[in-house]
Amino acid sequence: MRRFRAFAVSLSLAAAGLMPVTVGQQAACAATADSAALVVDTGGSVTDYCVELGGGSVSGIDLIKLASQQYGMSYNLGFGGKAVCALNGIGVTDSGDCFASFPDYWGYWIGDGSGGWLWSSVGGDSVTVEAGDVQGWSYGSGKDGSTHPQPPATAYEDVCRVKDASGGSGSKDGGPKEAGGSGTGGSKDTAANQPGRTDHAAQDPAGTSGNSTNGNGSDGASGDGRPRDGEPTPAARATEAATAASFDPSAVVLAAPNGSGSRDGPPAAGFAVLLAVLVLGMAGAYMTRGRGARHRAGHTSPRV
Amino acid sequence: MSLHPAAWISWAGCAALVAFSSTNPFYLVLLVAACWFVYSGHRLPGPAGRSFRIFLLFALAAVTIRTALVLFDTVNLPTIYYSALEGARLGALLVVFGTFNSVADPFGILRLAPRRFHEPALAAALALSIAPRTIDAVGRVREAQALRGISLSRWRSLPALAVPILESGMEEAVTLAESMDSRGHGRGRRSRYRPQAWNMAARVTVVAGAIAAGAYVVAGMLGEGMLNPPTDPIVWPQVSLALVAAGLLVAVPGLFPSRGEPS
Repeated sequence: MRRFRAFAVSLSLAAAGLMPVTVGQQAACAATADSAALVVDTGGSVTDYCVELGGGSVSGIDLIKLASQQYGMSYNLGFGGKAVCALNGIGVTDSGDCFASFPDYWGYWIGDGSGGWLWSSVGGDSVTVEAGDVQGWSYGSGKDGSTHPQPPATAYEDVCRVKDASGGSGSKDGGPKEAGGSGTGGSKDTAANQPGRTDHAAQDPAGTSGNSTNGNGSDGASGDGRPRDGEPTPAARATEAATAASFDPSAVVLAAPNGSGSRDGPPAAGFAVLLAVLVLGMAGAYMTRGRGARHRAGHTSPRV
Repeated sequence: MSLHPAAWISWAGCAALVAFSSTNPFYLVLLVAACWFVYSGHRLPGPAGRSFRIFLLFALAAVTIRTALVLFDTVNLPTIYYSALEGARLGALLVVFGTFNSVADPFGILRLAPRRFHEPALAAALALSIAPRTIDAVGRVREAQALRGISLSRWRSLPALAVPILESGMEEAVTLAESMDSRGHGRGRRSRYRPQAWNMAARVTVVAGAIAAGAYVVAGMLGEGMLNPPTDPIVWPQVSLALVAAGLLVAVPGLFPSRGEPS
C-alpha cells in the first residue's frame, strides 16, 4: 500500500517538476518549528528535505519514512527496518542486506548545530530527531567518520530557512504566509545554488489553504501521502520548491520509488517454484504411501 | 540400498547452507519440498523416521515464535514480514536437520570416523541422534506409564514423562559408549561390520549438493537472485531460475529411493 502511495506522490512530484511554469510558485518556506532537515548525499548529488515531524520527535529512520511520504523520496531499509540500504535509488535496492555492496554503504551523520557533521555511532533507529535537528546520510566507503565522506556542510536554516536572510521571498519567521506570491529563488541562495543540489522545502502547516494554482494531481497525491498519524494536511503541498532556477530533473527521476512499477506481480520464475514444489510434494506423497504399510511395524529395539 | 552416511552428511551440510543463505520464501519453500521428497524416498524404519514430522512442527513453532518476537520492538507490517522471513529461514534449517535425522543413521556415521577422533565422533553421533532417541523414549515411557494407569494428558503429569526420558537418555548414551568400546571401536581396529558402499548414488548426491550450495553461496556474495528480499518497503520477492534449478538439486537423493531395509 505504501508503495502505491509513494509511487503516486513521486508521480505527482514528477508532474509538478515537469511543469514548472504551471506550478509557478516558490515554496513558502517552512518557518515552522515542527520540522527537521534531512540531507541525502548519494555521492553524485545532494538532496535536502525539510521534513515535518507532525508533532513530537521521531527516530532517524522514521524521518526517512516521513520524507518519503512528504516528498516521494525512495528508500529501502534492511535488517528489519534498522539499517538504510538505499536512498533515492542509490545503494542496495533489491535486497535487505544493506552491506551487500560493502565497502560502499550509507553513512549516518548528525548535524552539530552549526552546519558541521558528527559521525553517528549508533543506527538511525536509536537516534531521536527533534524539531530543528539536522540529519545527514552519505553514500560512500570508509568504516567510520574519519574516512567516510561527509555530506556538504548544512545548517537547519539552509534547508528549512527559518531566517530567510536574503529577504527576497517575504517569508518571515512564525506568522502565516501565503503560498503564492513569493519571489523565485530569493530564499534559495544558501544551499540550493550549489551545483548538483536539490532542495525540498515543506509547506508551513499553518499556511493558507486552497491555493487553486496548484495542480490537481499534486493536491490529490498530497492527500494520499500523509504521515501515518493523520495530522491535518497542509493545504498546498505541491510547492516542492520546484522553481525554474533550481529545478533539477535528474533528482526527480532519482526520487522515483525504485522499480515500484515493474516489480509487481509474481514472475514466471515464481510459477516455476510453485510447479517444482507441487511435483516434489506429490512425488513424495506417492512414495510415502507406497512405503507406508511396511513401516507401521512399531518400535524397533534400541540401537546398541 | 541406502546412501553412504558420508553422502548424507554432505547433503545435509549443503542443504543447510542453502537454507542459511536465503530468506526468500520461494527458495525456502522449494528447499522444504526437496527435503520432503528426500525424506519420502529414504525414510528409516522405526522412530528415527518420525524425526521429519517432529522437526516440521518445530519449524512451525520457530516461525511463530520468531514472528512473535517482533512484539518486543516496533510493530508494523515491514517488521512483522522481516521477522517471519527470518523465522522461515530458521524453520527451513530445522526441516533440513529433521530430514537428516530421519534418513541417516548417526551411528553409521560414527563408523566412518578415524580412530583418533573416535571420542568426539561418538559425542557428535550422540548429539545428532538426540531427537530420534528422545522420540523413541517418549513412546516407550508413555506406553509404560499408560500401563501403570497414569494418564499423561495434563501439565501436572509432565514430570512423570520428562524425568524418565532424561534418565533413559543418559543411560542410553552411557550404554552406547560402553558397547562401542567393548566392540573395539577406538581401539585400533576399525569395524568392517556391514560396510556401506560408496556408490554412484552417493557420488551424485555429493556433487549435486555441492553445486546447489555453491550456487547459493556465490549468488549471496554477488548479491544476485534476491536471496534476501527487501522488507521495508515490502516488495514482491523475485527468484532467479538458475537458483530454482540449483535448489532442485537438493532433491536429487530422492531419485534413488532406498528400499526400506533396516539400517
